[in-house]
Amino acid sequence: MTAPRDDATDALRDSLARWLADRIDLNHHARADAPPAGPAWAGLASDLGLLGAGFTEGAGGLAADAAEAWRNHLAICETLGEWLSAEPYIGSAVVGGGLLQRAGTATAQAVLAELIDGRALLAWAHAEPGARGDPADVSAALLPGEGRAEWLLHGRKTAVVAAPWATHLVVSARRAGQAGDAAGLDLILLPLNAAGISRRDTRTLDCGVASEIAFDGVAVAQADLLAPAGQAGPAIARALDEAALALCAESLGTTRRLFDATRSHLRERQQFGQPLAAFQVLQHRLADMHIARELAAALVAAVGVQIADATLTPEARALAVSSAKVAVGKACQRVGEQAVQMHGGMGVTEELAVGRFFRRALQIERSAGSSGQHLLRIVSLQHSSP
Amino acid sequence: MQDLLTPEEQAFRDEVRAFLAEHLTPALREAGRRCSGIFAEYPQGNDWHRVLAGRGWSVPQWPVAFGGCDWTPMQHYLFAAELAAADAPPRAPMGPGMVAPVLIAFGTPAQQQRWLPGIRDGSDYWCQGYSEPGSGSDLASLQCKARRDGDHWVIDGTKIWTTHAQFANRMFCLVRTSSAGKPQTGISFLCFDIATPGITIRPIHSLSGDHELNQVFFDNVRVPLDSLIGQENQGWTIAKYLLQHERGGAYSPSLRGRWRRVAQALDAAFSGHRAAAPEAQQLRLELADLHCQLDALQALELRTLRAQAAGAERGISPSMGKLLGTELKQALTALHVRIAGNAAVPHAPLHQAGAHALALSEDGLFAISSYLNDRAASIYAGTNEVQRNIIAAHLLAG
Repeated sequence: MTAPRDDATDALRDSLARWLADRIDLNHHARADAPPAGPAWAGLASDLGLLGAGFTEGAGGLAADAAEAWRNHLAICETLGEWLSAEPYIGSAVVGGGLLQRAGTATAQAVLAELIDGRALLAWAHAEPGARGDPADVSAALLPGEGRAEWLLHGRKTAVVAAPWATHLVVSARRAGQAGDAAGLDLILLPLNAAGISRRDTRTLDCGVASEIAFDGVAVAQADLLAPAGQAGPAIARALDEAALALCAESLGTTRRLFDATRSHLRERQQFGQPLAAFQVLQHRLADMHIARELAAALVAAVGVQIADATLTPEARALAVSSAKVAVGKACQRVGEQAVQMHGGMGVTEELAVGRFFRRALQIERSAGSSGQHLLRIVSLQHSSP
Repeated sequence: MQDLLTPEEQAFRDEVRAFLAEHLTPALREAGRRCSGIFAEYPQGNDWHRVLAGRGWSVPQWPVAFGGCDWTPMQHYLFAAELAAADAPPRAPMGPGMVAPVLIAFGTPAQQQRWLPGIRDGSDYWCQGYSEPGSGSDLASLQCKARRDGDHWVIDGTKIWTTHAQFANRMFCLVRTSSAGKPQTGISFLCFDIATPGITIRPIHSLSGDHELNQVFFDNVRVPLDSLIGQENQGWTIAKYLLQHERGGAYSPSLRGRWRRVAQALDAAFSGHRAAAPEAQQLRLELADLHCQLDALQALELRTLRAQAAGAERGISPSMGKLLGTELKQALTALHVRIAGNAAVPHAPLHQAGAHALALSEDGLFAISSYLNDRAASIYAGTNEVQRNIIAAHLLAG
């Protein structure tokens, strides 16, 4: 089964896949201690003109409407997922671009134009050490500027993906209240090289790069805000939902690779004088992997249609996205762990691409809210709805 | 679970605890805590082995005549549990737990004299040459060849998943010495020095980034005739005997220590303004379920130990233990990763966690590293699919 096809989106998908196939050798493994290759970000714009595909014409993009923009976003994420390179698209285009488009300020419009041109790359600096998926669990503080600036930003962010290659950070911070309060939040756009930002870049479990970032009195002006002062809570919640859905789309590419590699391996690998595919227990596992993927793919496509609907309430959006994320989490876990298991010893090494796809699937399950956190959110939404 | 110990058992446990308090140094405990793989790095693991050897406790499971301890099954269990609870570095079993039982059961007195003392005192370090690229679950199909040439065996071929080959000075190895008849009937068991010319070692990096595994290549490697253990072409019997020992240890002592560590991580993750998060309760339910599974496994392992001491056949106990122990360990490390949350996104060597103004959580790094390493637990030492086949074949026989 494949998702309903759309000519423009299909063309985009195919040209992106060809472009990636020319550039990425999945069998080449860069050693964990080698310096990581940066993302081919500018090429997505200059070679493919693709970075406008997820934005409507009114925002300087290529899509006729929100439905087409989301179709494109999800197709791009899924295709990038097949090549282990969906980051930084999700943080930069889906989250960052979405926030810029909705902010509507002159600064935001200028940076969005740069993003669509491939000159700007945004990194999403929201999660803080120890946070458990609550969008309002923000302690980074926006304090009065004491004459040096309108405000000064202090705080710590964790696991900021692709920060080394970013031109800007989108940072969540709090001007009032306590961590966990939905009110009193801000969203701030900062150049990466702003004074007072320090960074520690680390490799991540899925072979990417993320950064620990500290803000020590970084100057913030009114023009840097991407949401009304102290009222960024809904914008943050929406950005997180959209990031989760984009990750869901990416996972379909990730788990497709894992499934295909496992099916080929079962056909080719001989033990006890027969292919592994002759063993019934492995046939059943493969069937279960396929079913988990099909369920996730169907739900992600359905939620992809819903999310573009302007009348969707935040609660309905949250329920739909959580449901998709849980289905995707199950598929990532089942397909990922079984792909490794059925590859035997080679599956737990750096020798095959399957190990890297497995780690990405694991990281997707844990990002933008883990399966467990989304289940708990469904519980709270169902209890609060009339 | 409260162990109902006799006064003698309590006294023994106190003796072990007193020894650990005096001899298990902070550096060794740190190495134990940072061990996210199967067993500790060679330097720390072997240092600890030598300390135990000084007390006569490095190979307690051996017969007394070879330097073992005349302990009851419960004493063996308590010893393992106390070491795990104190964060002692887990020691590599290839010498003490795998090749030594083979030498004791099948070796000549000369072979026992040559190799057992070095295993006991830690001067030798062994690696295992069993699997090959084309022979994993189907071990009997192995192709690495050895032929007689005068007073030598000449080995050609390759072995894979050779844990710690880069540290080992000796190797035990299954080789094909005959192609006649069924595959199982043409296998022999050899022991030799890694320094023999013609042996090369290629590192294999694990998903965690660790280097524990290797591929070993043999090109015209000449080892003496008395490298052979037992009879020529009798290697399959020996191989299966060793596998029983490899799969036969108790898992619950070390898992109990790991469970406590995960419980501590859970308490730390939900402190302050996060203390009342609903997620904490959900994770505590999962942790409690693993506690119950661990109690049951511990009871089963103790019962098995007692039965073996009374002379019972091992039967399918090693397969059941391997299945239960490895799957429980995987469940524990998966839960640890869920508890660690975004602290388990960075992936760096543990000792680098605090080496920067922006510190990383060492517990988070440990959680993800152990989770990745533990994906191998259901694959090595006979995949869990193979263990289930062994159990089913036994239950359906006759």
